[in-house]
Amino acid sequence: MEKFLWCILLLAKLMKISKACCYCGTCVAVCPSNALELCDCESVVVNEKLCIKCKACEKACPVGAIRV
Amino acid sequence: MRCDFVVVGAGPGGSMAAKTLAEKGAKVLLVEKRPEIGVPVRCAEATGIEGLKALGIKIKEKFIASRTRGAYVYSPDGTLVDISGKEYSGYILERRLFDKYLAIYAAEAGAEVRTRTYAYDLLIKDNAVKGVFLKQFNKRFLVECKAVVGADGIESKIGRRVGLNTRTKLSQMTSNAQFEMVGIDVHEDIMELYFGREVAPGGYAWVFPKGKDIANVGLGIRNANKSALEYLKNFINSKKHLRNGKISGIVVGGVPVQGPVEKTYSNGVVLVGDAARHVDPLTGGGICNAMKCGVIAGEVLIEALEKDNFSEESLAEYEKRWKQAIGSALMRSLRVKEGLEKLNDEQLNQIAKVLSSLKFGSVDLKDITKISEELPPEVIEFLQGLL
Repeated sequence: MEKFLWCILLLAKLMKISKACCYCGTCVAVCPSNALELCDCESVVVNEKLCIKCKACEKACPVGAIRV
Repeated sequence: MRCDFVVVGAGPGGSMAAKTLAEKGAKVLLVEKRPEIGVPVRCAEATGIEGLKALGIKIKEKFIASRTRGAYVYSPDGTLVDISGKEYSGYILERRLFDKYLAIYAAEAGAEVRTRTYAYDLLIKDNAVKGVFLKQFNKRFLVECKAVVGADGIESKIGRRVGLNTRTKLSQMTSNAQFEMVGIDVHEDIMELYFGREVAPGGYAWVFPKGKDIANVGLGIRNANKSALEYLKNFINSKKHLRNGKISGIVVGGVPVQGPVEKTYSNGVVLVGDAARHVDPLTGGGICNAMKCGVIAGEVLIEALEKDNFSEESLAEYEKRWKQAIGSALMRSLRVKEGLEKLNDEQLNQIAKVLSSLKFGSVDLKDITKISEELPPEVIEFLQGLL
């Protein structure tokens, strides 16, 4: 049970990129800690360890697809 | 596989670099991560005729959607400043075909083109680039090479991999959204630009005609609390001639407006186009700049190949030459942009009133003195900065 709660807590803390994402790369270009990467052409990969929760990506996203 | 150069990214910058290199006899591989070159479009597609012609490429009717004679610029209160001329001065391109043809020109010159091929890492040995790790479909492989051209867009991975600082501050990144709209009432050969805090804070909105009743309608914003898409919907709803149009395409993306990155070269790597932020900070346009820098990168790398020296010192020549070619224009735009940022909507309206009352070519000294008496000092300072 405790593990389950931890998982939920962790998921709530993680950065979310919704399906509205168009893979334009704007978030990658503004990320100050290189936590984001546009892989292939159909995925934005988040390195949670590097993310400093500054919300630059959230503010820069043209379609509002990111929640930090 | 082994070749002389790998060009990462088949946009205008990358394709021109590959074309230049291949024409001089080098073995070049041009890779593009997307399955099809030019798609999806990330551009408002306007460019200057002069700039494009100066590059000496074959201009085909196929990739020109329309020709423009200038623009109508609207201030926040709707004052019109007419900056159109009689002659055609700009193209609205069909980027999906334009980009493809540039890659075809590169291929015709002898470059090998591979799409759906993603450069996921560089092979770096003894502080020099020795190859690029590529992934095509699910196959991963290494291509050994002597130098790499990073033309991989705003999200440039190549630059970061070799330690070049390509990050754009949030305040210097415009967030853009654009609809291709049909069934709207536009001037076929005039662009429309709209300024103002309500319309597009930190940027502007545009209507670029691509035909009789079809246009790219979009905007770029900075430091705003809503997304660009929201602003665009509001903008279209507020304009009578756009409101009833149908949307036939959506384009989104970021345009960096901070001016070029500090350093655009490293051991065995040069950055071109959006990757080096070769974007005009005032207009957000970068097609011709990217292409010019692509050609320069090609020329410098060929010289480096002849000397067999791809060190940082040798490639510094690239930065020197692109600064000669476009540096002063970029810096001038940056100054104007910074001046423009300081003005509020009211001041923009005042400037628009001054400009709309003047006719280009027939400015009287008396007019200028009369007008300058009415203007606040900030506005005069800005106008002086333009000169």
